[in-house]
Amino acid sequence: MNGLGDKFDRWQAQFAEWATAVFGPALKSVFQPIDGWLQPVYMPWARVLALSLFIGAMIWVWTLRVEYVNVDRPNTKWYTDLRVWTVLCMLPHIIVYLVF
Amino acid sequence: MDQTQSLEWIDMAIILIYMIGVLVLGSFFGKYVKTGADFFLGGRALPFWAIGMSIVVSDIGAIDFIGVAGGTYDTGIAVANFDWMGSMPAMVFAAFFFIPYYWRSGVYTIPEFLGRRYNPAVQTLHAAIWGVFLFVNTSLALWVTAEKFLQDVLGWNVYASVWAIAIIVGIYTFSGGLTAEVMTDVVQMILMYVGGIALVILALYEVGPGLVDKVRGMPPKAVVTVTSTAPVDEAWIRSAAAGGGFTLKSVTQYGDPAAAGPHEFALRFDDPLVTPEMSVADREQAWRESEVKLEKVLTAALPAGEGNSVEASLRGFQNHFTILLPHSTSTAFPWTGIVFGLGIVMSTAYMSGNQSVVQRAFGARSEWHAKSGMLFAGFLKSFIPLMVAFPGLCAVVLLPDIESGDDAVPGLMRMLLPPGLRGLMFAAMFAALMATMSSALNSACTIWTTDLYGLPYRLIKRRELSQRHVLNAGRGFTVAFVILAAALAEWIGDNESLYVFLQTALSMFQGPVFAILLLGIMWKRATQWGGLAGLILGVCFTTILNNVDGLFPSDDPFLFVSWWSFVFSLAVTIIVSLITPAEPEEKIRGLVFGQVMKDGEIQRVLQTRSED
Repeated sequence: MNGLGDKFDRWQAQFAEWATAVFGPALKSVFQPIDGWLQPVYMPWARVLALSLFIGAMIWVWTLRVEYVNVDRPNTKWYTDLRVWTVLCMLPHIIVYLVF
Repeated sequence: MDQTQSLEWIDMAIILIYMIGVLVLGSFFGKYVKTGADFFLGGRALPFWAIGMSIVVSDIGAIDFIGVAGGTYDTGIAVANFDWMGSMPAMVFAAFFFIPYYWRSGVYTIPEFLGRRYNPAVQTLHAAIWGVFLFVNTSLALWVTAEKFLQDVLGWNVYASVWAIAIIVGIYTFSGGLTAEVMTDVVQMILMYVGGIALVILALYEVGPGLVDKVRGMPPKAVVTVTSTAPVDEAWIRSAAAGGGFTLKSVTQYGDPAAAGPHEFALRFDDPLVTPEMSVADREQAWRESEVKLEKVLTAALPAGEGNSVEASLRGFQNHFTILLPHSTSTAFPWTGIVFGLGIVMSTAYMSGNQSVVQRAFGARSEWHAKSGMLFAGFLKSFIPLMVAFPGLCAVVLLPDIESGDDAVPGLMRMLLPPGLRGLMFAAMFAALMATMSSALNSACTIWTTDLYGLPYRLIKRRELSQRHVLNAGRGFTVAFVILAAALAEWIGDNESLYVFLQTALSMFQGPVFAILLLGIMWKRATQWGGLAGLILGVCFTTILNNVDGLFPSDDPFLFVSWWSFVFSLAVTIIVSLITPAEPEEKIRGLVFGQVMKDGEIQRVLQTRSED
């Protein structure tokens, strides 16, 4: 660690001390209740939320206008439909989050 | 990396052939570069497969090979969330939400898009942080490549190596611009995948059937650092631990036992507090309790003396195949942070707002190729955890006594790869570093040319840069940055704080930039002052969150910070936009979701605007 690094670390420590003193009480009154609320959340809900991110993205693409999704498409074969690509790309992830 | 000294002539030949091949291939594309658009956007002729492969390579560096495998060794597959949860949903959102607007507006950079949607202040602020970060990243990648690979592997002089790589990357980037970079990335990606998959297959073969059971069956490992004025050895550790009820199965001492200073040991024992029926959260809690108890027991056994101390860090392996860890986890990957911070904010901000990533999509030959390139990249990235995380898991079984998780991949390479394949693997890691460097260099030049040089030029001279001028400026910045990056490489490489500071500064922008990008496209009422306030106050809020202790349960709460900074910036942008005058319809035409326009029309709008 050279002089510049030491100086930076000192500034950061001083800033952290000041920020904790000034903003800490107000921020803790907001974030700690949220934290307390999240602690007991049943773990399978985590899996449901994670899967919903993948499935939701897939569904969202299918709700878009097909002309918008496939604009400039080279041909009309099924394998150039980007909605199909989206599903194929998402499936391995859905399996991973279901299994693990 | 002493294991690298065992490279044979065939390994070195592979590395040299790779370097020469990349130089020749990259330079070949120089004959197609005639304008600024050719240089920075590959003449807008890139196919989806090249875009996808290039995005993966510019995103994955040699650091991932070492660091992610190390993270998986220590924490388990939760680390792989960064390439699964942190990739595909964001890629889909980027492909169908952001990319069409970037692509249709014909911009070269994200800051340029922000400048058009909001104002030059937003553009300059965003460009400045990315411009500096990408330059430092170029220089750092240069130093790491020279020091860790050419010096340690081939025994070359480090300074000569810095200039040799700078010249190779500089020549093909100067000559072929984005096209050269993307096409060399294609070769580099194939090399990375061949090397990575070979290592995984050999590691899995060596472990044999039942990887999951073998990893979960490993006894907990405590790494203990003892600082003592009295002699400390294995016998002392065993006796002290036994006094506290710990029956050690094995003790490994790192470093020289006779050397002065702190002594480090790895201890293995059956933990009576942990049972297979326990939940993931309860197991973590039990490990924390054992860690505290072990530290107390060893400290009590130390003779009294100034500076005598014990630090223990304990981890178990039964949660290593749990991808979503509880909110209370002490690791950096609680499920709440992973889903909200990573899945929604950080990954989308990265895939939609990182110049190195989206510049390839800007260069697509059509909007379909831009979108499909992003999807293809997401698909390819799905396999990255197999290559970088599985070696870490295999190392838990094959190399149980390594000092640090970061030693997992080098250790496996030394243990498993035969000559030839070892050279290929080193070439793959070398390729990853070269790709990181060339990508950062090209993107830095694009931002400096377009936003930090082109914007003031346009404001002062009241006219756009000509295509020829853009090309010359881009090449000028390339030469200047290559020389500067090489000259400053050692200083930047040795000055870890500078890089950490810039990375922290960049991460502070992620949430706020994503908020204003999202609102800028989704909500036509978002105003320039709303965007500026959202960006500046969002960065200030992030700085405060990063520095106030005890706000979040995780030891490293960057995922929570990114989520809350995003929410805060979103709120600020909405409030300030509502109290400031709406933007004229003409200014935001074609830049807001719902105003889907054909290319020709939007180009005419942009042309008229630039002439005003």
